[in-house]
Amino acid sequence: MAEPSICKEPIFESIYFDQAEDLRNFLYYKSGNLKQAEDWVQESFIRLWDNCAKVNLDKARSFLFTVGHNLFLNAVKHDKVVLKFQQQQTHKTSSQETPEYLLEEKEFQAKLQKAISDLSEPQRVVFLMNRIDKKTYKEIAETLGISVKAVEKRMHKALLALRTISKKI
Amino acid sequence: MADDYKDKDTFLARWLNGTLSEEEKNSIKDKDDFEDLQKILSEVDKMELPPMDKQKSFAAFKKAKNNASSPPTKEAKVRRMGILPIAAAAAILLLVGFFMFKPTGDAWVEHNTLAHENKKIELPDGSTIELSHHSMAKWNDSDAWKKNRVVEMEGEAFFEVKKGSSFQVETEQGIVTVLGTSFNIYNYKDRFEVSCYTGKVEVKSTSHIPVILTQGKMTRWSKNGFEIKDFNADSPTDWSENKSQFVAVPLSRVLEEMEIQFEIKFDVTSIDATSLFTGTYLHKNLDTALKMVLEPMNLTGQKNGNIITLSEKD
Repeated sequence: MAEPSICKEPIFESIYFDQAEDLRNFLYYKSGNLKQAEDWVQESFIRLWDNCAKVNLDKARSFLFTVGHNLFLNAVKHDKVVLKFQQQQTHKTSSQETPEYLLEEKEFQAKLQKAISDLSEPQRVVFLMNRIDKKTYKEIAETLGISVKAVEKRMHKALLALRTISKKI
Repeated sequence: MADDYKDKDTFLARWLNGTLSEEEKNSIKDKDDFEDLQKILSEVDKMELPPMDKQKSFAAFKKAKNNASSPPTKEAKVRRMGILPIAAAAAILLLVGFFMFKPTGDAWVEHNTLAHENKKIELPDGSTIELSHHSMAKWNDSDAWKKNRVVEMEGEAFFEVKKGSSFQVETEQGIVTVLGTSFNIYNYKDRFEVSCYTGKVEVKSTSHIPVILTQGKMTRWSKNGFEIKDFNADSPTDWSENKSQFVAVPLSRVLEEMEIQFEIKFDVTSIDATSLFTGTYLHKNLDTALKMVLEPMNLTGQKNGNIITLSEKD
């Protein structure tokens, strides 16, 4: 059975809806720059559209991630990558927390975000794709084009590095 | 064991995943280390990125894509994404054969007619469309439609438009913007004709500068060029009365309309199809229609299935 062409608008749109957010997050984890990540997402999809006749539906995701990764490589690198995340609101009654506790918690979160930013890029990307995007090691391996073992190694190193921040408290 | 040693560099990853072997699980001596990690991980679980507004983002993508595109060639037109125009006078896609990008799913209403069929349709604002045979009209029946009235059509249709917001009809060969009230659009094959019965109509296509028609004026685009002519706007459109009238029109034009009407084909190799025809034919019956067209032209036709070969009468 012939593959449906992704040059068809409804199909292309569904690819966009399926992949754009993952791609944006992936590029953000690499660069620490959300706006830039969003621009790269658009550029990657433009390239996919321009090549739509040559790319099968099942190869679209890896095409997008490869293009995105290349855009990242070609960009001017800043020395430090700083990632910031929003905190989900946890509904604890404030009477249970002393101001000191809340302050400690805030400091801990800041320390943690810095530690994540300081991870090497391979470790950071794998760690965040697993914890924030909720991707399995297998999915991460497929997306990055590496083995599951390689994903596990990076994850292990990331966890080792993060574990040290608790000791510093 | 040798295996464990090798796998030491993935230990924490597999712990996290819950895929440690029993042996490995038992080998964990210092539980504190793992409690610290747990705390870190539960903190990380609270972190999130701003959710992506995919609709908005995709709309921005389309815009970026169209800005990046070079002018469409015949090949490129197949892959170009259309943008729904937002104002009559604004920059409009002037392409021959552009793609309309439909919003996914939702409220598109479409009407089609077959041979020998006329259909009168009412739009949400009370405007009406009378569809001729082999024609189509469609629009997005949402609440927003009344603020920016856009209808897509193919074939031939007569529009009576109620006063209100911008009203546009989009066809493959051009865009008609209503500045007044009633007009007819002929959009079959390569011919694109717009006749204004009342009010004012603006017609745009890639093949000529935009034109404004007033009552009693019609435009005709064909491969040969473009002209504005007068016509009798007092009489209602002929096809809605089941007949077609022509005044000094090349025979080929008449034959073409009959081909669509009756689903036949004419072989004109032995005649001069450029000679001008003035007259009428009725729609209800092919033989009658043939008689009414061929006799005044001194022609005769030989039927062969769906194909009619024309030749001069001796």
